[in-house]
Amino acid sequence: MNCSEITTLAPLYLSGELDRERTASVVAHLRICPACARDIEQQRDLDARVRAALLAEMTDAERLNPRIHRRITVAEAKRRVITLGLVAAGIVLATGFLFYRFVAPPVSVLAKAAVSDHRREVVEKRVKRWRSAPADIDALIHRQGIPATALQSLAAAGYRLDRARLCRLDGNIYLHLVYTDGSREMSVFLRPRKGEAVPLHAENMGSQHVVAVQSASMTVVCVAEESQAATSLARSAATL
Amino acid sequence: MSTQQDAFERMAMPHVSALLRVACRLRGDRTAAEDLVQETMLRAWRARHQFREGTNARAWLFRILFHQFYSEGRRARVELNFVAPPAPDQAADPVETLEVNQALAALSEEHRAVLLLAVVEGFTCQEIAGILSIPIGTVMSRLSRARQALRELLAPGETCAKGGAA
Repeated sequence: MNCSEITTLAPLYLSGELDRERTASVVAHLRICPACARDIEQQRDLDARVRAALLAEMTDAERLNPRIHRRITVAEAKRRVITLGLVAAGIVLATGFLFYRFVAPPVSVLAKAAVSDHRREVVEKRVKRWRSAPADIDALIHRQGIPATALQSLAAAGYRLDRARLCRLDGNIYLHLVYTDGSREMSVFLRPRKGEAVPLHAENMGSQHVVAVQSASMTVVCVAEESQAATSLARSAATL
Repeated sequence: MSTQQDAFERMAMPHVSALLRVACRLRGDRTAAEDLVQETMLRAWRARHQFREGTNARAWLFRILFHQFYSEGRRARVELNFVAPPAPDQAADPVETLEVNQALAALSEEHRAVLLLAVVEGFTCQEIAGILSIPIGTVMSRLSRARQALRELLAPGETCAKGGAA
């Protein structure tokens, strides 16, 4: 080991971090090199001088300790308030979502979704896969838990059932029936439900007239260009 | 006081004096140093779940102190203008204390930091590397230069003329 290596390793030697083998090499060098031995000795003395001077000072943390204690207590109280606030906000949001999603989806939202679906699937004919054979339509209706008698109640004057498929309105699966009078087409969306009947909701959305009704056992939404046909069909649906 | 707070204070509060001693040399002002230590303890409290039981709490707190210091230091840095009086039970020479403090204040911030941690607080080079988040080689070279600079300030006559012993 030479003087340069001693200079490099001096910090580790002075802090006792060198392994036994390298410590022995340093010690062996210090025995034969008075300059390095003096250098290390001076560093030790200097360290001791600095340590003695600073450790003799009065740091007096007494007045700081209560401040720290108070600060932590206040921070912890704030954190609890924020956590409780977040939990309360989460509960309110979750309750609102569940109410909206499962208890009472607003009829206006449903009506808007039905008009949009009617425009896409019927007016613009973007969907090709429909069931038009009566047996297929009956099977689809049966699978959705809708009684076959419901269809008879939904027959509107001058309209006949043309085709059917399943679609999604406002996150729920609906049976989408398309009625035609030969030139115009009307959409009827059905979904079984259980609950109290909700008053009939009707509005115009562009060229479409939409009527939604929620009876005790069924949600029915009719979308048609002709308001009279839609209203008449929805009124029959209210008795389901 | 909660059990958690109680456990935290048992673990951290004994090191407040050491943190304050170093903070005074970093900030140069007693009030600013107290603020630094207070913020350090608050950060430590918030990060208490990251502390592993059985590891070095002192080194962990110093690491937080330096992180806090460097994050605040970008906004403001002050000159050393504070020297604490000697403790009543210590037979320290006030002139000697003043000289050492003035010499420390004259060092660069990074040299002062490693010197305080190694010489006064007794951390190993490996621990200092962890506290300051720098390689151990950097700690060693900073420590050598800091000692050399301090020697020139406190004992200018003592120079080292090394030979070539192998």
